[in-house]
Amino acid sequence: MIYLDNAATTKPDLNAIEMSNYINETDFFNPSAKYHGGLITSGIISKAKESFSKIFGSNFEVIFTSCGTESDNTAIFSYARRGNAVTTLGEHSAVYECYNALKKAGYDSRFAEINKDGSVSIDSLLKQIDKNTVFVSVVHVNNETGAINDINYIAKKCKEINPRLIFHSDGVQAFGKINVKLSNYVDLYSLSAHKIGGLKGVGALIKNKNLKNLKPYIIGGGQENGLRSGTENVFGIKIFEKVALDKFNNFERNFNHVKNLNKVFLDGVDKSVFTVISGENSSPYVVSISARGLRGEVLQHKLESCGVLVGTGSACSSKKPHSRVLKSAGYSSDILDGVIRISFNYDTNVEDVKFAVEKINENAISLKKAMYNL
Amino acid sequence: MSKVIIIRWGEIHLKGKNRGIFEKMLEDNIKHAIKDFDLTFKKISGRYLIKDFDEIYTEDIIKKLSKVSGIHSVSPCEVVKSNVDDIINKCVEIANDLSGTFKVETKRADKTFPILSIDFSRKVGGEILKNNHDLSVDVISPTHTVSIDIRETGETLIFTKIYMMMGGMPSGSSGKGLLMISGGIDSPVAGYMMAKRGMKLSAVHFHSYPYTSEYAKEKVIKLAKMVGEYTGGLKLYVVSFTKIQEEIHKLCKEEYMITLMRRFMMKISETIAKNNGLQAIITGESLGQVASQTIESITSSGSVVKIPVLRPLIAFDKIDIIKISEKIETYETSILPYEDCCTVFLPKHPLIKPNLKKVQIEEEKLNVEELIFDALSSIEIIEL
Repeated sequence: MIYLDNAATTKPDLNAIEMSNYINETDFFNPSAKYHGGLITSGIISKAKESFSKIFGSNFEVIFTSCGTESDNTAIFSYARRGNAVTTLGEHSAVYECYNALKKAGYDSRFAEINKDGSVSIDSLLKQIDKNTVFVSVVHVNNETGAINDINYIAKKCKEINPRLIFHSDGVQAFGKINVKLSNYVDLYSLSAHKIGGLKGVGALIKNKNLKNLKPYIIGGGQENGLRSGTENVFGIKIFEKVALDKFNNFERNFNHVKNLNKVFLDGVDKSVFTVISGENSSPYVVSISARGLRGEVLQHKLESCGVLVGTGSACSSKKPHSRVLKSAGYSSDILDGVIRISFNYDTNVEDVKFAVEKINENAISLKKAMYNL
Repeated sequence: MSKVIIIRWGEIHLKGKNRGIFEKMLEDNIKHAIKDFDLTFKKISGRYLIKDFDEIYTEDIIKKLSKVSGIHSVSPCEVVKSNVDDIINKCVEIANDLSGTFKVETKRADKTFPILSIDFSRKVGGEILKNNHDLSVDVISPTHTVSIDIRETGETLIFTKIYMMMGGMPSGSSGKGLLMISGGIDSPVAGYMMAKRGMKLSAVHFHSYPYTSEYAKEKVIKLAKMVGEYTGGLKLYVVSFTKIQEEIHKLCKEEYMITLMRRFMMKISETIAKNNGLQAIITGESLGQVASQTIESITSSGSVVKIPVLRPLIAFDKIDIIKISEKIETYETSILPYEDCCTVFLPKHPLIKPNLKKVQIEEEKLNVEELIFDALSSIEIIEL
């Protein structure tokens, strides 16, 4: 099986799991416990926090959560209930639906337009911001197209208009994959462990230490300095730390490897059948293409039977809406119908990509023949 | 004392000499439906009684009973000894939670009970009024009826609620049918309607992987299971329809796609029915709802089979079908947005009034027998 849906989730790093297994075997104690075992497990979490500080710099601290979505929800609902809040039409649902919920509750939610490649139109974004804007959220890497938003630049520009606004970015598809050196203009940044070889059920909210008044989304026993209650997932956090450090330390090597995979893939794709949606400056980890006039899901099933797993950006059914993001980017329905998403991992093999691209071309052509009696 | 649930049966009481057969079927179906609960099931004159169960499961038991065809209604009851004081005290206690209007109804099977029914109702009503000032009497259309059933056994049943059940005939009493289930709103309702009339069901589904997803099949399995709850489980035959659709698409005129598909589905269903002792095909067709459900289309698809084709929804409006699907809780699943095999290769302009002769000419372009044989040999059977 060739797995090319790594933007959905990655295979957990078995080495990191094995090295962390002592937490299940011996050091399983509740980190809040006052006996020695509790001290050991709370120490594991402290060490993980230090590692994340190393990655993001000492201006930032980490709050462990259960997933990227929880991190996004925590950030948005903590601040965006005053004035107006701005985001983009290219957000993942974890952000987009929060803004929609706020809008339904009567708050002033604003959505900036996006470009063809899924990146935000900076002009449109800045036009929405005014002196009453309290919160801005801009996704770092779009999960469907891989489009990169230069969040450091965007955050700076936003704060030039209104220095008091809080800037958040969903970094779930960026962290461990592209450069995530955050500037001091960024206040909050969401991460997810399972997109980089960690376990599902673990996420983090990176918080600028200057930021005040973050309110917890989950309250209770006061863990994570009262910002996220609930007994910590020590095992998941430990693995997250390991894979995050691994990605941080091997960033250049992985990036160049995946960039090459991306090139091999795009060079190989039959342009007479496919339209490439991802832009040139996108993250090499995600490629969106569309087999015009076909249904992405049908092609996905065909590929599955050849042992190649890819994602679909949109639905196959007429009853199901198209990809919200790509629709906002202005694509017509024959393109939207046929979208498939290919996403790589640092350990994806170039030979596998060559095989996959061959199968993708082959199946799209044969499907086209079957559908249109060519 | 304890609580019991009274089960009243429906149409069976109209039956004559063969009534015993129907009663036995209903009894078996009820026992099957509640087999997972620890309780005692008992037949009393003209009714069934469930007792010795844990009260926290009352609602769950009633929910199970609501899926047994042939039951008219059920009532959870309090049981007390048949003496005047005990009955009155219990009635007052039950009525304490009520407000609005009420009346008391007494049935006295035990004629040795010292007070006449009408007098006793009046007496109990008076006591209730004294104790609950939120209630007033209305004997014509009360909000609540406190029913007292003084039985010959020395026990009295008291209840205030009557839950209406499915009605109809006991499952198995009206033969066996094969439901064509698509994943839409209508076919599960059609299955339910026939189950209500006592027909045992199997189901057949046509899927078109890779043009449809595994989710679409899972959805149908879920729906079939829900329908199966009304017939004590069912067998689902899943037929791969991909090859047939591809061949029609390749060889026949575009607008004949659905007309020809329906004919294939009918023929395959008939063969499955015959091979498995099923006596009819059931479809969710409703006259004129879509192109394949006009009288001409129904004639075209119906003409290829000899077995009876039952269409319980034929004269139903969509809105009424939706109401039933909401009642039987299949609606939420039915509207999940997965493609079913009817929408793949969908022609822009399907035939609304197919001409049978022209249909046959199109069909002759295909190797019908071989395609059907292949489809039948690919059947997957799922016991639900």
